[in-house]
Amino acid sequence: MPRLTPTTALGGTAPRIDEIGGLRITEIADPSLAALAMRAKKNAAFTKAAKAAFGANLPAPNTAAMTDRHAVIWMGPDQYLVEANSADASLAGTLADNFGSAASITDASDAWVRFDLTGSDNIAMLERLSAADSRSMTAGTATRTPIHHMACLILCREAGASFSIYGPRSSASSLHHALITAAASL
Amino acid sequence: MTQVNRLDGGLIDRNTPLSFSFDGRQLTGYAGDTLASALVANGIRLVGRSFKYHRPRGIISAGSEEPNGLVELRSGARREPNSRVTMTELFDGLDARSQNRWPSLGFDLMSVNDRLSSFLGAGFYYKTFMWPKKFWELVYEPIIRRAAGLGALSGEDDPDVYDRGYRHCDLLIIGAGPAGLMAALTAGRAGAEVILVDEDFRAGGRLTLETHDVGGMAGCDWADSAIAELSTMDNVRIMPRSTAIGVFDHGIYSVVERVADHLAVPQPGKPRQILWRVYAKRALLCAGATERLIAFDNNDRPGIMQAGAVRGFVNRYAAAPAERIAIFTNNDDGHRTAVDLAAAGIDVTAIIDSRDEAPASDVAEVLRGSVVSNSSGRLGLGHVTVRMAGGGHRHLDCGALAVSGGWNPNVHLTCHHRGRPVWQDDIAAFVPGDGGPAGLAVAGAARGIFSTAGALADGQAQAIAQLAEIGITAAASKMPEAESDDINITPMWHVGGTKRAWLDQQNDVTVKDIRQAHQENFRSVEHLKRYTTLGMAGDQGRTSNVLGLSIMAELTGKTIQETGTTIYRPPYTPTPIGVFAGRSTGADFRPTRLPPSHHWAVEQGAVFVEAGAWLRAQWYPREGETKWRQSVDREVLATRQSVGVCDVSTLGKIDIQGRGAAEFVNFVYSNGFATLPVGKTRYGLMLREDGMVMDDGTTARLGEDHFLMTTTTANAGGVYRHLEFVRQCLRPDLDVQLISATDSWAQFAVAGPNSRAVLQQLVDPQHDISNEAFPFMACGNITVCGGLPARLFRISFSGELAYEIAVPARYGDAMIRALMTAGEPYDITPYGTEALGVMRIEKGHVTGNELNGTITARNLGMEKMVSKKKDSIGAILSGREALVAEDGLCLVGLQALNGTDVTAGSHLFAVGTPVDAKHDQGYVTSAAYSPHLEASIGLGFITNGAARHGEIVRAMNPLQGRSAELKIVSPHFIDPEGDRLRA
Repeated sequence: MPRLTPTTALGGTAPRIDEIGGLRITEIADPSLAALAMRAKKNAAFTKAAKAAFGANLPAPNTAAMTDRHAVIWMGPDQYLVEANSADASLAGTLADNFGSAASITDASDAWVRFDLTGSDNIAMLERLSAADSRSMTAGTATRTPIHHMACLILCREAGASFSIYGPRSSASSLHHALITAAASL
Repeated sequence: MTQVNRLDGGLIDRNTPLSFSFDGRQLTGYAGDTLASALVANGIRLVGRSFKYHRPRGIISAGSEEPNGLVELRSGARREPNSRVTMTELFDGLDARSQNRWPSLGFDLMSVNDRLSSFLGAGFYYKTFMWPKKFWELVYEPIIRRAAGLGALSGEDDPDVYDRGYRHCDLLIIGAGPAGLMAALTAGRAGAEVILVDEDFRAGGRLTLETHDVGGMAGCDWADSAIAELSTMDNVRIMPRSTAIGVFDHGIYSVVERVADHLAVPQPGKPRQILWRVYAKRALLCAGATERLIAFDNNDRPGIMQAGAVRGFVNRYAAAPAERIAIFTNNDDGHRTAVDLAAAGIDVTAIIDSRDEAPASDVAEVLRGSVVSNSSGRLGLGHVTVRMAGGGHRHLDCGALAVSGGWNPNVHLTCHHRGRPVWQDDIAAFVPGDGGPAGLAVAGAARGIFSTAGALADGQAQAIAQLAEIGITAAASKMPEAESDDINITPMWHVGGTKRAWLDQQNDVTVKDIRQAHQENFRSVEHLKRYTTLGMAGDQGRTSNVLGLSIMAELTGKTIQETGTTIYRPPYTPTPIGVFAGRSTGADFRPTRLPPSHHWAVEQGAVFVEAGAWLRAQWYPREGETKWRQSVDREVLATRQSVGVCDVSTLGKIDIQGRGAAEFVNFVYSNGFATLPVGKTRYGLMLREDGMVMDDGTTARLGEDHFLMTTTTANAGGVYRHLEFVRQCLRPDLDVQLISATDSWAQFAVAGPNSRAVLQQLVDPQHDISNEAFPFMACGNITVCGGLPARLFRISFSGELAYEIAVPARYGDAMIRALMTAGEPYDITPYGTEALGVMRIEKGHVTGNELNGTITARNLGMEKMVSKKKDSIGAILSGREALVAEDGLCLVGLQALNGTDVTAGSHLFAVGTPVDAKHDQGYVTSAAYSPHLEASIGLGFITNGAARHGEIVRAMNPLQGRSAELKIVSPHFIDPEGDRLRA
């Protein structure tokens, strides 16, 4: 084990949790993420490897394939962000093995900050932050959206009840500020 | 005096009295009042002075169209001028002051303007202040600005916050009057996602102001029951105090919600107002209609009001504008006012009806075929003069005159995409024409269907039709019974007279002004508007435009349709600028990006600088250092003498993979990359298609089909976008995948002769980083601190023996601390962007200052880096004749002589030549004090510079009034042979 101690995107040693009104905003300390992109002319092998790796079909645009172990989020044509449901430092390596020469894989665990939103007011809060139609989102809806000029991603885990917001890790403080400000302004 | 004009009844809450002040007078009203109705109830008619002539003015409406009742609300930093009293909900402690008067509202010295009116008519400014030209800004404008105008801002920062929000719906319904409520019920019951917005705090529209029954109950009760039903529907969202101010492309509507304007101070953390962007598949405009006045001499006297507003104040607010009220009408609607006033016990002096065939009245004498020709009374109405059908005159005592000139549908939002309204003769008004915004339909009075029954039915029918277009079936339900009377208008625009008759009361435009514009050939409506300022006030002429147009039509002999209208534009009603800014103010104007060592740098007391969105440590002051140069000089010298560390995570990092990655990188860089071995890094020069330098950086080959490109901090986004363009559009044949890795890695430059010794303590022992095993430009995946995966690059921006070490971002904070601990024996010194800049200038490395978009590889002395052996972006156009001229600009080093300073931005001239554009030979791009050379140095471009080393030139900076003598030298001030970085 390395002698270094990781910090969360907000710079703490423990994830930050804010409870404001009927909302709970939780920083996820160590998301395990990998960027997955299909290599040219590898459609068949890529689809097959995805099915084997995730046990699900690849998601359509603006959605995520949600399985017990992963959320596979559509990010662009033939590009996905794979989220492991539990901390898994070997995610990118495992995927590289699974996909072989059919995909390009990049560890993205440190590229993003993730905040989970739960509570009764989360739609009202998201309406203050993003032009995406959070009210009509169902489990597995995933949308790239700017939030206060930051390139973010909203993933709906349970319609109206549970969402994750991903933003650039370096902007974690600004995104957190935007979230708690919006929560407090409802 | 307390509420002398308060009646019984009304929709006010008498259990909640509220106290407020107007011009310092303490008054009371009730919850449910507007400031307007509370002033009316307190018998206050004079509320302001007019914009130009300082005429005494009173409230004329009960809605958002109010042109006169403008006050300064609140005090201190919250002072807000030009607040419409009719839209101001009364709250306890409300503090309002009249505007545009001195010393007092009753005695205003500037009302002398009114005596000078014959000089101040239309076009006055254009004609009078033509010369001398320079007097305009210095003399005329300050005087005019002081004399004219309305309220004043506080000049302080707005203490309130404003929010922005986004909502989506199937059907947006604008206006909660009978048409809007019926549409909402129909759509809501069908399960459609509905947003119902209304500018009032109480739903019902005209129903709140009238006494008609709807569905066997009072109209306002029916409205309440509709709201109650809608409130139970999850698919319907009701937004009171919300005005749709504009229609934009693709079904996007701007709605301003006044969240806290009805409170003295917003709740802590809560916004005062929210600007909603509503995405609506379909929208229905149910904005109702605005009653217009009839122009006659002195028709602006306080107490002269819209007839619908007069009965509205009585019915909804139980506030009588006066004890005796006369009515002047050209249609049947005026007679309704008489009935309602009589029912409330008010003495209706007479109904002056311009129609010869006017109906009889049970409640007052009807003066058929008669008109009001003048008014009198000091600071408020006392009498009106009636010109009788037979030709004689009659004087009537009255404290208020209720005027009904017919109703104008509120078509404004249908004009926001340049839709033109069309004239409808039977109602003598403009109704929405074709060519309005796509997806926006209109229902009820807003399209000229004025009866309550008609509006209800139309609301339902339009809702069904709109929903059908988006595949939602809505059922028709039984209509509640309601009045379906026709208003039987006979148009009557103005009463001829010899005095001034007012059209636009907010901008002080009279019938005479229209005549003058006509006389002077400003006859097109657009010219008329600009010459007279008709309709150019905050109300966009809602009570005046049609009157002005009708008079111009009379003068030109055209129809009103032919005369046309000017364009209504967003916002529909005056809107505070703050709500457009939303949260984007001050430090929240844009987000910041923090490098992984930020929190540690804060602990060190670093001074920060914004580099794009990044907040970077600029220098790290130590105790006793009082000037930034002391810190920077120390950081530079310590790094060059021993070792320094700098967070360089902000540089753009792009992960490039795929079978075609090598060919791709080789194509986007002008120098060769195809043969770069795995485990090596190379400096790359990237050109734009036009041959100019776009960016530079180092790119590492991590695997056969895996590269990691580094960009400058400033260009990270632009280079990524460029690579995506090349990948998708220029070379789709290549198998290439891109992903940004900038945020993933915490990267630190460790520079100086002792950098290897420091790193050797952290890099796990199985990785040999000796000069032999890991030479200059090597790179590789390693582990540090007991197994943490990391990347090491032997690259140098400072010119010293240097490395850049990258660890996953979450370990960045721990890594900087580990580096500082490991470096302790070597006095490791953290350095900021200033020292970084000094060292790269000393080394002659270019950055954004030099790569300014007009510079070629040849200008940089790097023409050999544009390979002729391959195709690359920009290679061909970099060979353009002008770009390869022998005497082109050339990067040089510049050293100040005689203790002067090099100043970036200075232009360079040969000694003895004139300082003008013709003799300009180049310019200084970067400057720094070099503690190493103990001199001010810089980089710059000068004509034929490579051949001029040793020459003295003059650097001129006329903007800062500075000049200096500089010596042209090699841009490599330090270690030109590169021995240090290869050590």
